[in-house]
Amino acid sequence: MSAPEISRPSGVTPWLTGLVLLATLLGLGAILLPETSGLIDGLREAQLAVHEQLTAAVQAVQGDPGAGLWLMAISFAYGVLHAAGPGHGKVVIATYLGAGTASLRRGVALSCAAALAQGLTAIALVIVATSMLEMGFRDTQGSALGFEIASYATVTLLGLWLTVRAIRSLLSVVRAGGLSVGHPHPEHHHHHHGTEEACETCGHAHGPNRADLERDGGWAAMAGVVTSIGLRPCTGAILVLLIAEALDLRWAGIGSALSMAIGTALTVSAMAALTVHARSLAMRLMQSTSARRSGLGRHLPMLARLPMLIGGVAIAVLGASLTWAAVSTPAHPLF
Amino acid sequence: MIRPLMMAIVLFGVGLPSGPPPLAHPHASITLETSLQVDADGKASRLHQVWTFDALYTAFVLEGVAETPALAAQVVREVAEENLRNLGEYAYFTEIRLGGAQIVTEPATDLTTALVESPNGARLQMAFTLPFEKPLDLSDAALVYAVFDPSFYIDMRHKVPSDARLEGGNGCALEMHQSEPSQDIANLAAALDKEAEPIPTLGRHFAQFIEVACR
Repeated sequence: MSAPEISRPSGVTPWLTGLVLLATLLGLGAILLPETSGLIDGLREAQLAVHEQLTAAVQAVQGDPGAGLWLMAISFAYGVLHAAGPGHGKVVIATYLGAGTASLRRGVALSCAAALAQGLTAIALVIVATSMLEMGFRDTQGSALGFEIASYATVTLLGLWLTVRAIRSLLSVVRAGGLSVGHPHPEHHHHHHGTEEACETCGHAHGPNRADLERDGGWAAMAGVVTSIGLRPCTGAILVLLIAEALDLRWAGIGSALSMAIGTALTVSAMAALTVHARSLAMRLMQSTSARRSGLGRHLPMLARLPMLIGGVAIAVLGASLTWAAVSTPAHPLF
Repeated sequence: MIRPLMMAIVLFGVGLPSGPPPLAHPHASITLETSLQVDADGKASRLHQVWTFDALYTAFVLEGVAETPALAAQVVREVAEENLRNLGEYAYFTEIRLGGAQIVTEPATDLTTALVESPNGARLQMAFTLPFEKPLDLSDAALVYAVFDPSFYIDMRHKVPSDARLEGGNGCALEMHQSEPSQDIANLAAALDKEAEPIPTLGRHFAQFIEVACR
């Protein structure tokens, strides 16, 4: 039974662990650094300028429905660019993909689902808040903060859950004697036609087998990733939707929010693809060298589970620190 | 399709280096106009205040609605109501003492809002009245009031002394005392960035204290 080269555990894992750790630290830095450096003010002002362009585009639709195309285009550009900045969603996806064994297709699907979920959350929030609860402009914007905190809390839970899974899996390998036996194929490589068939179409040499999926936490983990990211609605989308509601142009707002989501999906997918490729490349490079020479092979079953452990911990730490920052922001009565 | 993309890139590029981010406290400013109402019997009954926020604060409030006057007015009203609601817990940033004893006011009333033009752009203005629980006899002791953000996150001051006035109160005199913060305090404020843990006694060192005495 030939396991796919890419997903076969090998001596690459210690290296990979380092890689994931580094990527996570860089990502964390990208998020936390601006908070302390004051750069966030500059970003905020840039965002203000872009938001003005967006809302002007919505208003243009009021006079001329043809301007809808322009609105979609500028919304799409906003989505692409906005997603290129630091954000917790990208760190979660990159860490999860870097630590796990998901295929390119799966990574892209994950990114698209998360971006789309953010847009749909914004749409649902604004429609429910303004039409059903008859909330004001500001209160609706304020209620987005609650979703943000829920999103961060979910990230924390996801991280903890991945960590617990990784520890359990690690312990089971240790108990089974994986440390000393040195069998290169610790996973149960049963043929599962469902997954094999799905992978015929994915343009990738081999997709994840069942064991890989389970080490990654499977569909539940993917759902967790999408939920944790998607719960935080896009602020630009909320703004445009609110303006559109006020101008009785609901469909323009929804179209704009979806265009933003598509733009965001593009950027995040690119990052996901980069992560998956970097992981695969690292694996290939290491495949034939260090593992055999260093005799690390016998530890493989254990080592193969380390990245997910580190990734899980990193995601949990990220979620906890973001939750804490969101909850403990010193409240000022005028801000 | 290229144009919006280019424009967004340019906007991001131009927006980023636009001046050094303000690091030190304060991070916003409010221009004050206050007037103390003294009734015919020589008793002070309420303090009227007009707060004019800076243009940047206003720009963030008006984010997205600046070009739609009706919507802008609605948002300004919502923000002012929210501000006043929140300020209740902070005694409306207003400290009033009569002969040293602290005076508690009723909740703010008569909120009005406006957008006033300035060279730097529109400025949000909110005006309200703080009625005293019972009229204060100023014949025995002087009344001193000050309006300031205790954390000095926002700098609040009357632009000129004449922006603090008396309504009525013949025979009463109003005098403004400008606080002179020590160098240490000034340095401390300059060292505090936006995210800093608030120091709830900082603002007092920069406040204007207005003394009203009647003979």
